[in-house]
Amino acid sequence: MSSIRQKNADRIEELKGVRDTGLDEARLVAFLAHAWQTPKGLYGWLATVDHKVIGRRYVVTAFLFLILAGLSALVMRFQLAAPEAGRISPDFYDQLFTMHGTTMMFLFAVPVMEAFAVYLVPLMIGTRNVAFPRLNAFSYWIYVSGGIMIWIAFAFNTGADAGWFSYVPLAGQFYGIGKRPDFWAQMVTYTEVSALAVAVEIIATVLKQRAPGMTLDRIPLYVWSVLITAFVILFAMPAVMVSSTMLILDRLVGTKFFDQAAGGDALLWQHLFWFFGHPEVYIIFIPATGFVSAILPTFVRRPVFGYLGIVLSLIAIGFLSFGLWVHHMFATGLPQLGESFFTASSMMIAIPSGIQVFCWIATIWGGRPIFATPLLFVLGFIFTFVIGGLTGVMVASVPIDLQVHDTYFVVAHFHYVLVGGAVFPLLGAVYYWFPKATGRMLSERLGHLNFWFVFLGFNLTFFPMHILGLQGMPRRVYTYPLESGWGSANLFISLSSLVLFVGFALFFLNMLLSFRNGLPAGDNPWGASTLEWATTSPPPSYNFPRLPVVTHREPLWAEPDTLAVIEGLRVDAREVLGGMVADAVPQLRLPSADNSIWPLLSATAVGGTFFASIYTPWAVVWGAIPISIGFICWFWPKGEPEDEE
Amino acid sequence: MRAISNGVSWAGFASGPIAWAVSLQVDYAIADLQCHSGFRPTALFSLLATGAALAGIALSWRALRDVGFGISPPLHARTRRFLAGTSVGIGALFALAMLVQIAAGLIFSGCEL
Repeated sequence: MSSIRQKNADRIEELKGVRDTGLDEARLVAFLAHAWQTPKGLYGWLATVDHKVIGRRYVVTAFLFLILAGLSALVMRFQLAAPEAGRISPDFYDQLFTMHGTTMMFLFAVPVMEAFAVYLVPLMIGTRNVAFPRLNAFSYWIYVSGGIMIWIAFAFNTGADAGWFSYVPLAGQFYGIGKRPDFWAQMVTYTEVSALAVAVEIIATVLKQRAPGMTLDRIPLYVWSVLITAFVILFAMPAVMVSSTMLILDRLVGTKFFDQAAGGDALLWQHLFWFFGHPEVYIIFIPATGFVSAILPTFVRRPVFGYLGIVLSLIAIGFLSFGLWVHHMFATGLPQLGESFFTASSMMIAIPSGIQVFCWIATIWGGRPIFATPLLFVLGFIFTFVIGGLTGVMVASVPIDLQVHDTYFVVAHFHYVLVGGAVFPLLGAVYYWFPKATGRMLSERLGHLNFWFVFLGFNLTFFPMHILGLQGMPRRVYTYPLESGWGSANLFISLSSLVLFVGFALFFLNMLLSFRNGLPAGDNPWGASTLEWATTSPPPSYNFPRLPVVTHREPLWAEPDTLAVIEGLRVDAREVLGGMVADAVPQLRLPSADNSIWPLLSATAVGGTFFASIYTPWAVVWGAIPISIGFICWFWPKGEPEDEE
Repeated sequence: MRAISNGVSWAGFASGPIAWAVSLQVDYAIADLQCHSGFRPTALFSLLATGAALAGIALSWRALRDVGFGISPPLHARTRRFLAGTSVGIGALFALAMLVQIAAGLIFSGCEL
């Protein structure tokens, strides 16, 4: 009797709410639009948890930081254009190169890659929002407050000045100037909290919320790339968060983690930092390879060659990235035998990277290329990244590294890897997905001009740095003697950087003009094959009226007319579908969190505590009170559908 | 025993990276001992780790050949095959990385400064 009663209760539970089953299109859309809407006005702007709104916001903020970091570089090039120039002071130069590197790595490159993932992953795997949507909103507010904080500090002549890796003892309690290293250390904490939050969301979303039928071997390669990146973030970022906290403790509380004289270890900083720092390169690079694997098939009109090879390469790179950190420390006097193991791993990573490059070349070889702007950036990437990869193999060798360590050769190498390997595909990705996000096409004419200015400007700027480095010019010097003979090369580099600047100016101009006046895009302007192109441009708040069912790795090419869909989800409240990790077989309906102001308020409390802890350790104690209040209110059940089991 | 007869699709995926990570850490930690030990402990340890990776590859290879039966976890044949193929490739790559570590352990005596 009780089991019958239980069954009836289950059935009532099953039928709770309005389902999409059999609902006509107009009513379905009306229900979904109401359930998933972001309220208009300031409250909606601050409280939204829509992954598309937050993703766009992340992208715009990251590009604003790119502009700041790029302008810092231009000022440095203005100073270095002539020997013994006194256009800016050495102190200001130190702050500039530190802010440039710090901003590019922590405030632009990682966040922009995560931003694309936040925007694209739910669309590409056929779901309605990321897992933990409020955490997503929280991550953005934390990120932006950390970035604003360090740039305001810079405006008040308290900009970080010990390099983007803030080595001790230079940044320690004895040599760090004022509060500069503390602002750097806390900015790291802000951005890493944010990055970890996004990583958790992406992992949960990809593993549990894929459309039915999207088995492991049908996941788009871009999604594979961000999934692996998220795992790398999860294991790499805690190292730098811990080390930056140890640094601030040394400086503020008087601990001796890095104080050699008191039994600490300065090299410990380098180990902890580079255990994060080297994977950081791949956190930026792996999603960029995902962009390439997404863009290429569309513009050569065939599926990517070697899907399995690319997936295993991505996974292998993710693992290997944790075994390379000591190659940044070859000049610290470690035993040669120990160093040789890291040389081995550093060279081994060329193999999965090479597998990917050959798969892309084979894809182009077997296709019919259409030379639209996204493809141009991909081709520019392959050319540039191969050069950066080759010099990477060179500096993985201890004898060569000892010769070129801390010279402009290394500056050239990592710009080839990071700009060539990540920014080129990123620009291609903007051209590729801008129509989806805005409903408008970017100008192809400006796009081609943009590509050639950036490609030529980049190579003319950074290739001569290899030669300068081999000639012995050290990095991080605000000037150099006239007798060195480096003047003409430096002038050439500074002039070339203006070409690169024009290239980026064209990029932003194109975005601004096209956002207002670009041609209407339509749902799938490129004739692409992945699920994000199955919905409207820009997508509605609920992404898909009915969730798609995937029967092929290239679903829109396999079923060009109509995609199969699944029914049974609630439409009067926010609900997504949860499935099995490997086979994406639907298992349960999951409530998805609604808009809330508490992520912003909690982020304000956390950010305020981080900021105050630069000045007093007691901030951690007193800050715990507003943080606790914020989190309790955030998670307190409010009797809404999202609270139902 | 079923695992040995039918294979384990994810075995190489786990054994390769884990064996490599452990061997890298241990080799780095014992590098100082090699100079006066009278033998090459780093090479020996890397060799053992390579063996562990190869065992995982062998299990994944069996799973790749065995498309009929899904064992733990119970995956669809196609997914299982994909995972097994990926595992074989990843395991092989990390076995190769450890072979290079063996070479390093044999070339350097450990007494170099």
